[in-house]
Amino acid sequence: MPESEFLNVTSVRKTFGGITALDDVSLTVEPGRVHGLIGPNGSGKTTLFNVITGFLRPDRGQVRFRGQTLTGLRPEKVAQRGVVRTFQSSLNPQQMTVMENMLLGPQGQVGEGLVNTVLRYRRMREQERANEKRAWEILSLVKLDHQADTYVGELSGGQKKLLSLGQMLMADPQLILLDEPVAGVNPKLIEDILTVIDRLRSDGYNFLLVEHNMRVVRRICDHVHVLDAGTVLADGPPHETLQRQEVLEAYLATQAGATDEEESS
Amino acid sequence: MDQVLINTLIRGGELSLLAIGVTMVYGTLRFPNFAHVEFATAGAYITLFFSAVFGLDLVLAGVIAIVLVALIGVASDVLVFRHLRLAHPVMPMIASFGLGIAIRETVRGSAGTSPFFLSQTLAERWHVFGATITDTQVLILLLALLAVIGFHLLLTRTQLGIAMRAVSDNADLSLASGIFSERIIRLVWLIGAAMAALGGILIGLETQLQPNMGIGLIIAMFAAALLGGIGNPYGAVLGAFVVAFAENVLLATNWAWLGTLVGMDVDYLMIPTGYKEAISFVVLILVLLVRPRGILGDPAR
Amino acid sequence: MIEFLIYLLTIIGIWGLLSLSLNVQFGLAGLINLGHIVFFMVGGYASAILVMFHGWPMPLAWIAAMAISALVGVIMTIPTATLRQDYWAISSLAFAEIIRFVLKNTPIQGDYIGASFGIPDIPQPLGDMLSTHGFYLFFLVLTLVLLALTYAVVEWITRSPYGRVLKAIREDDHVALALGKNVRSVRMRAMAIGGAIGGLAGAMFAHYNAFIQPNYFLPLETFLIWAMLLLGGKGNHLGAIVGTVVIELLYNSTRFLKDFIDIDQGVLSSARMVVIGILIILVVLYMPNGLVPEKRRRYARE
Repeated sequence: MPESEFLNVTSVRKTFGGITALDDVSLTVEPGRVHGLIGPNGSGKTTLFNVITGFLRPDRGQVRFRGQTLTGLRPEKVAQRGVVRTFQSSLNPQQMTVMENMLLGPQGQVGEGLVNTVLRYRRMREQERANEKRAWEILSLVKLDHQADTYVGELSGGQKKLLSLGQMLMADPQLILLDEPVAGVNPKLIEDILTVIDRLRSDGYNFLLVEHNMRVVRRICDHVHVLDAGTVLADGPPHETLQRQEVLEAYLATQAGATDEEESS
Repeated sequence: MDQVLINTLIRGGELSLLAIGVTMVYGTLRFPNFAHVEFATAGAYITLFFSAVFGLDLVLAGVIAIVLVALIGVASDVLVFRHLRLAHPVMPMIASFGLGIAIRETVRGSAGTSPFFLSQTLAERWHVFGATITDTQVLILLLALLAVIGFHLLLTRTQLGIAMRAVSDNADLSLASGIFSERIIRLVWLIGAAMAALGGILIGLETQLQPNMGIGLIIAMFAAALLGGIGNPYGAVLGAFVVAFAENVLLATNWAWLGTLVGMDVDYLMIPTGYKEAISFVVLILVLLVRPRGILGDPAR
Repeated sequence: MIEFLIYLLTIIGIWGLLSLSLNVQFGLAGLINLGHIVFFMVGGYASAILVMFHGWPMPLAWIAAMAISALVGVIMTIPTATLRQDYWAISSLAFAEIIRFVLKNTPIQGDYIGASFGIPDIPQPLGDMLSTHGFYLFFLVLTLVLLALTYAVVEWITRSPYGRVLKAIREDDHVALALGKNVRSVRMRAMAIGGAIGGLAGAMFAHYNAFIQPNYFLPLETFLIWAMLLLGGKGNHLGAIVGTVVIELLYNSTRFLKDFIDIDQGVLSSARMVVIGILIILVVLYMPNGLVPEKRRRYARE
């Protein structure tokens, strides 16, 4: 596997008690492409996300990003290096508004240091103003600008996913990891989300996403990695990779109902 | 040493009765019930009431008290805690504090702050292996043992008991409320409160009754339950005896050897009896810092 | 009557500080601190000891009390990273009780100061220069000023980006971590701030009441502060103050009733506690957001 200067996952192994969630997993992510991580339920996709972003420490193996080692770093440090992620179930604080969530995104906020709210008051105000302006732009991109003062708890599932996406952008990330960006979202909003991702890709953002919905995968991903029972089964452009024997067998074996539905429609 | 053993057995037995109920509610509903100790207080005082005011036989008064407190336990769930299944974790904790206060102050307001004694007759003393044990203490040990064995039989031989065990070990199962699991939860409250009431009566028999008798037990009870593993009644019994043993042994030990290690020149170095409470604190903090899931607890916790 | 009102307002002021302190830790940071009274206790003892036995001037002692309580808050956070919310809550309760236990068993000077006797004859600020009535009036003004200052400080914190991160970690750490926030440090600071405010309240009380003893700092006291916060409205500083007023009025109401109803003091005192206990249950069941709900910050231009 050619080494990538961007994201490099090498021989990652992770076990929980007696279960091996990831076994010698390696993959690379190139900039300028949307990478998809797919596989039947329980194949270890979210675990891999957790390892990459520092929420879990692998037993073996390495994760390197743009020349720096990410393995062993705490999650906030990984995010500070430019790798941000969303969560499968929207974990955004329910009791905060959309705008507050957006303003949470940017890194390096002077006002987050307590003493600095006084000592660097002017800088803090500058940043707040700039961030707010940026937030409005992104909110209009993800079509949530009319919901700026709505509590997250009052949003629909799809809107929450759009918010997460918007939040990621505020963080000015190098690599965005999306964990099931369209799961549980109503079809109309799915199209909105995909349009946003398309637009962002052409703006130069980089994505690695986990998805079950095969139609979405085919539509948006330039490159897929198939994970099954903790190992990488196949790797390549979606159209040809999804036709491969071993991939089809893996899905049939675990009877992923969603896949069948998508295939037949 | 044998006196230590007997004291350990008694204290362990009493704590077991309290810890079993609280650990099962904690395992099932995921919150520490700070009112649980007041079930014990209520049990003791209601027994006193029926025996002193109505002149009933102590045993009959005790049975009535246990039944009444068991009902109070179920009522607490039906009226209060059932509505908090999905609330923020702090809500049932604070509500249980409030309930505890309400019960305790009702007792205090009715009976006053001066201590009472349940057993008026001077207990006959027995001498066993060089230790002294009164027949009241023998009674306490027997009753505690019977209750624990009875509970074990319930858990293993009856359908309801097996269901209780399943629900207590798996909070998610019980919180996905269905009529079946609601009924089991009520049973958990019933039995837990009943056992606590018995525990209170036994403590009252052994020492005395005063309105704050419950408060003094909170830390030791939670130390036992956490040490054994939340949700596991057998763990609660194990934890109770470990705590009781620690309290009695550490107090009876001569720590002079430790003193000489740090340069003190003493023949006797004992932990002051006032520090007995501190032992259960230390156990509690140690469990939480080192192994929160306890000895027999589920690793998922 | 006037003296009683002055007393009541002063107590509301001091306990108002405690409510604000808990609001920072729970209302904003989401920490279920069941041992909150520890700050009050440590602050009171620290200041009394520094002034009486080490000759510190009172203002300096109060600041030191705040610093020590802040440190206590930080220490309590250390196991947080690993402990689940409810386990941490229990550990906080145990922690406060351990400190109280140590204070209860440690003599401070001679046979009658410290340990279960507490500390009597704590000097009151300007106590020598003012008449009794003058002192109480002065202290009330001092309390209200300090309360207003503290209120301003916590409002400032809440509206800052720091306050935003605090609210974000209230429910769950994951999103904040994924956005690069140092959650552990944020939490520690919230505990330190809350601790400092609680310590100030403790120092103030010690020098107002002129006497403190371990029984003033039972878990029941923490619970009362929780009652104030939940009744008033968590996450909301105005609510914290409102809750304090209501509970303190209720708590002190028996002083009035004594003159009108001929019941034994002990029974009356127990009855009022029963009422408070039931009130809290009712608040939790029917008014979990309290009297004054958290106000949302609006950004929309239109």
